[in-house]
Amino acid sequence: MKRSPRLYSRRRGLFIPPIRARVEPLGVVPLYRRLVAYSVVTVVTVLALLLPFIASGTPLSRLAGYLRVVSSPVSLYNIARYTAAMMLTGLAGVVAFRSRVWNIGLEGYMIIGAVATLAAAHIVRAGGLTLVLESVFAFLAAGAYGAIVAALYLLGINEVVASMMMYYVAVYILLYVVYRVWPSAYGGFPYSPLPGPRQPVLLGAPAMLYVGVVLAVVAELVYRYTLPGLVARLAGSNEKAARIAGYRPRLVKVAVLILSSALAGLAGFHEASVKGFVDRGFASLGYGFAGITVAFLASLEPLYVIPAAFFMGLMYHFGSYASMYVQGGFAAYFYYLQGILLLAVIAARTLPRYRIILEVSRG
Amino acid sequence: MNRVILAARGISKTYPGGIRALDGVDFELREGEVHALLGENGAGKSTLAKILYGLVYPDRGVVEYRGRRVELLSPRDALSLGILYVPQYPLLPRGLTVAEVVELYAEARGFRGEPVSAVKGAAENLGWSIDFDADADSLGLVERQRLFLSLALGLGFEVLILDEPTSFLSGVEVERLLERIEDVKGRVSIVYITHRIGEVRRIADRVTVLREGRVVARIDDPSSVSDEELVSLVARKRGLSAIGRRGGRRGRVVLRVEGLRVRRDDGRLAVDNVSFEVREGEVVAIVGIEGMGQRELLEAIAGLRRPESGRVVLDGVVVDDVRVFRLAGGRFVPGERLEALAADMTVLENIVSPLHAARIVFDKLVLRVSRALSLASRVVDEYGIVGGPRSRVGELSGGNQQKVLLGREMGVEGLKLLVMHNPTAGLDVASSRLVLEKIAGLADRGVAVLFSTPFIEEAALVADRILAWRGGRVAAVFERGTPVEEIAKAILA
Repeated sequence: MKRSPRLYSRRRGLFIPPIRARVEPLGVVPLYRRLVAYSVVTVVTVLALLLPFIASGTPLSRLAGYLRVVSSPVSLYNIARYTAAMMLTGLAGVVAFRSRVWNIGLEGYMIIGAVATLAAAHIVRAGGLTLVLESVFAFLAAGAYGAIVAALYLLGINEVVASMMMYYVAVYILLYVVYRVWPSAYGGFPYSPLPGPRQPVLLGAPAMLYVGVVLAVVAELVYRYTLPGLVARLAGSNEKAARIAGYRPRLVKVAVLILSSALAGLAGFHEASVKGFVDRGFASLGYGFAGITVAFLASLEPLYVIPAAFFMGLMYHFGSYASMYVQGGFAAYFYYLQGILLLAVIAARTLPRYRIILEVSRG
Repeated sequence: MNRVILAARGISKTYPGGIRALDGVDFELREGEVHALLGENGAGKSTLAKILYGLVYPDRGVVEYRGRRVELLSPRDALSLGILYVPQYPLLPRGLTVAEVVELYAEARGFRGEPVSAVKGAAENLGWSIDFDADADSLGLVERQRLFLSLALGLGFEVLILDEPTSFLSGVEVERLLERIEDVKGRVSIVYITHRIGEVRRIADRVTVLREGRVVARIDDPSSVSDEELVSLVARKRGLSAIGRRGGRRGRVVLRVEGLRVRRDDGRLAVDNVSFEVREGEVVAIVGIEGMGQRELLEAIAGLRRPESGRVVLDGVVVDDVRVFRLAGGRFVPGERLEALAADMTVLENIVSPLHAARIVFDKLVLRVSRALSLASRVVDEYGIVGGPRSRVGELSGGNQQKVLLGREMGVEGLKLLVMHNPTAGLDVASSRLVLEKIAGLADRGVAVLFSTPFIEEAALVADRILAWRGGRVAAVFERGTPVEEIAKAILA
């Protein structure tokens, strides 16, 4: 009989470090483990967030410079505008993630929402109802776009991959619309102006901020007091239990995937109607990906999306204005911050439930 | 007396979900012996075996090999020491030949020499020929066991842990396997896990009995202990007294199971052409050794698993989906309670969420809070659930979680057929009795009840008919009043 080649080889100590580890889930998670994990995560997060300031050599004056940015009326309007966008994408994230649907391509649905807003404004001139019609268009179009991901999900394609890839498709749809379908008549910089009214400002903030708050409250009520809300949570908590209870978790997942996409589409309407145009900058607004962070910061509770989105809105404001007004300001810091916060929240949720066993092997 | 080769000292392990599998267990395996680890389902036998093999890491306690403390962080550590674990149904990879699998084990063992010919030689010594060029996944169960026994001898493993090796074997195959184990006795030290007393008698030098995660007996001379004594050590002491039934009033057929064939997730046949009926007001118990297709049968009846052929008719409706099952008056309690509960949701939410309860407490999809509260409070009171309707299910003890599940399936109106898998698993004597009394009470009110249990005594207390379950079939049917020994014989034959 012929000898088959060696399939696997391990030479102890040459490439493999002499430390071996095992991660074991715990049956009972004592309170002290949670407290220790939360404390460690908090300390590490704060240190990580302060690192760029410390590295700059003059941490205190830098920090003060950042904080100064917040205090003008223009700033307050902008913070409200970012908050509204991220409240919508954050809610989109909560709706999906709560049912364990990882619809992470929220940015793509937002682009489709913006394009649909543009289409509605061009195709249907509805006078006073224009804004309402635009938002409904954005909602439905993004929902329909999400339905493609849902159909792929039913065919067995992972929604993480499908929704991410559909983001890239959305980017090309945006470019086509901006360059070819409704390009501006003047100027060399390609963009599509939005005919019709801009989003009204109420009490110094864009109207969609209030819509976002109302939607968050509605979502909370739906989760607490309606059968679809209960089933959506049940399907996320335990799929088998949902089946045993008589429901179809796959259909639930399809429904929340479409709803989540539609909500993200509203964020696209918001941004387009605030700016009054759609341009290629809509490909990388970032609110969609920030929505993932917002949803987890809110620990997947719709009401908590409001403060979480406000916090992230504040951070975005710093990010976008800091580089203009503050010497040495750098927007990248706020992407860094977002990543660190998301990691911290997930770490704090996960770490206490596992025990890590380390062993240093001799010889 | 031979030296101790492998020992576990003070081992405790609690799984996520709070299930305590082992509690301060000590175990010693001496060189060259066959040491039986005896206990019923859920006693902790497999958990202990997995800890000795590095598949599970204990919360407390240490493992010693030849008197030296060892850290088994993964099966690789166990393999390199010379410990081999053979599960009930050993899984082998698809796309690798048997020879390649042998090489992998040899590599992990640190075997110097030509592994395939060594294993081949060991197999031939036992009178077996193994096809080393075959795809590993194509081997049948008997061939897999032969491969692992030959592996153990050929590659010089010192400890062999056999986890219920005879569960899926027929009588002749069991006999052959036991003969081979007797042949290799002395050349390798064996931990033999089983719940069958006959096998213990046949091959074990010593016995450790586990019950509910603790060692209840260490027996150095099994021949000195009678079968009755062994049984009483293994079985949990329940002391359940008789439960009154208003017999003789059987109505029309509620559940009809016709020629049902169901497969396991891995494709093996679990339920083989099973037919029976359950009538209004009748309690039917399926009694057999766990893991022999009961789960698949009950899931198919509840519409959770698609049968390969045959059908289930509930109250005149063909059940092809769990939705149909529930709407036709069916209720289902699975064997693993956490399968049916949402741990991060409240007791109230868990009670009102199933379709049949939701139809009562939701009005045009909107929750009627007062109706929900009164329904949930009634179940909480009636089943003695500690913690109110607003507490989270994940924070309750295992017994209380079980009561939430039983209460919501048994305690909401519209019930025609109740299907339960191991209804008293994890409950203390008082709670078990309560559940059995509820079953009797429901049947007396005209509900058809079908439940599966490994405990003959429990079934005999309430059942009108007992279906003895063996090898995925109904082996025999017994009427109420049949002696327990006769039923046991039919199951263990």
